[in-house]
Amino acid sequence: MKEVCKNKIDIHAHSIITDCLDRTFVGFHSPEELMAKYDKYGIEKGFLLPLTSPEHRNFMMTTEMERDIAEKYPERFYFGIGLDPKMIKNNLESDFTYLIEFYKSKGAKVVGEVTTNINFDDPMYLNMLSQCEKCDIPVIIHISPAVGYTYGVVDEVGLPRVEKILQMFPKLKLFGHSQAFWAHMGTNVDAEIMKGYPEGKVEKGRLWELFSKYENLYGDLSAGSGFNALARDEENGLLFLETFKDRLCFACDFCDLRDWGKLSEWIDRKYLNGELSEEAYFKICRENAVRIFKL
Amino acid sequence: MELCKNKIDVHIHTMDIEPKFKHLAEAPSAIDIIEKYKINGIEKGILQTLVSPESRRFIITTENTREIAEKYPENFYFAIGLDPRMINNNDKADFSKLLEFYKSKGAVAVGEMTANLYFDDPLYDNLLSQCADFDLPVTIHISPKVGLAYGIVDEAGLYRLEKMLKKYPKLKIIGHSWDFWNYIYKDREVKKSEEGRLFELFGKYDNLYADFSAGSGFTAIRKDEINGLKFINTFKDRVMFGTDCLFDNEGFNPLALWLDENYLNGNLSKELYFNFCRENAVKIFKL
Repeated sequence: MKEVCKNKIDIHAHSIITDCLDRTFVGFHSPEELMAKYDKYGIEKGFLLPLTSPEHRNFMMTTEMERDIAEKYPERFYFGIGLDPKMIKNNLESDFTYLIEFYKSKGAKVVGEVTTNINFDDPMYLNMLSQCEKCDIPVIIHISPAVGYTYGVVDEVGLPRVEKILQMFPKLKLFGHSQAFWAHMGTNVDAEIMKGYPEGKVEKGRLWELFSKYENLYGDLSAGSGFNALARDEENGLLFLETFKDRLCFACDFCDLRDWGKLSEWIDRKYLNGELSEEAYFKICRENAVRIFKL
Repeated sequence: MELCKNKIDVHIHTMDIEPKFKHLAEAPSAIDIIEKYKINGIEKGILQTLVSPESRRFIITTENTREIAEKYPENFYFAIGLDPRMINNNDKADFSKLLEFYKSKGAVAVGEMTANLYFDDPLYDNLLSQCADFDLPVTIHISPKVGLAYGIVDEAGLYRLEKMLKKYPKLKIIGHSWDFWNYIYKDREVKKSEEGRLFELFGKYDNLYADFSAGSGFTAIRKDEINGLKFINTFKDRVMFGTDCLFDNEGFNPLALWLDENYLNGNLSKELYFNFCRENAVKIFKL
């Protein structure tokens, strides 16, 4: 008899210490609120990702805040390192390695969520990413389609800058995330479509090409964008999961308190129905995260 | 003559980090600072944030400063950390909820502003207009160019600063950093020089205030003591004491020492001395 995965790893989460903050304008979950959702959806642990770039923020979610929470609840959370390419010296001489090594020594598993709203191949980003590669730490990026549009590393239709980074840093494990990334599941993409949730049947798009060509590209399936990429055309979505089953990770990105576990329920159902193989299911829900992030 | 034993430090930062990694910290711990405050006759300090990423190892948030100020209310006030790219990352960003919320919790200022964009960038313009609406003084750190360390960008002559002073006459802008204080004299390289741009700006705009913290502010007075004294006497209602964590190995702040010595030897009037050390901060920040 099939059993759903009860110890999923969520590689994309955020949490806040709520004492200081006005919850009427700050979203996100307290650790207790997040753990309650985790219990509901069979999630054992999550990666708390800082948001340390100012773009689109109404408060700064620092590495220290996420680390404090992870240390308070070590059986439920890991934490990520918040880096912005303008940190350290605000120039191309910035040395991020000692900061990365400091936080790695404290248990950090990933750099992210990277959201600085400049071109992804800006020399400042290249400097930072080269050091992430050197320190052998995966990076989770949020992509934006334009400078000045909300937040996120900037890339255009077709994700040419993502491809450039994948080529330049073959040892860097790069996790794609956000509407602008997952919109490229299909071929029909323009600058406006990159901002949203495209619907309808998929002809294999740019992501199929990039995932096939570059072994260092990984998928963060979180949020509405990740879910939409799979569910808009389930036949394509399931084939994508099977084809790249070693490089996709379950994730939620619960931000608003009203968010619910769409991906968790959908992937459980697909597995129970026999539409998703056991191997792909358990890899995506947990085993990939354990292997990739060396948990 | 009695020295001022309850100075107000308008510019201080704090953060806690493990002893092994203290060299990475952006600032001393609160306990360290309180000890040094006792040595220097400082009653309280305004905890400034560092929320913009430029040149930072760690971010010091409004939550960090507020938490410390609430833990040690007899030693600290706190400022609000704002970056013009926050909220919407465009020039329509509405900072009012944040400003209102933190002001209601006791914030006395906005700062230290260090986002490395031009001072008259539409993003800064939008942010500053709202700081003016909320009557919160703003401590700025100036950089001479984009991509150089951190700070609001203004070039030779501080004409972008002047533009903001003119545009927002009700906004109290508190100047700080080498690239602000370098303009106190006409020739920055020469020990004794003529009055520079800051004399002109302070003369023209009564919404410009002086934060003498760190090496930059102190050096500005000491470099040419005659003109330095002339500056602080002329603008005695707008000069303020600050440390920006500058303490020597014995824990003394050089500006505090200089103020005390020069008051005792009669170089500073009682009015100027106490204004500088405390009274101006109380008035400007409404403490």
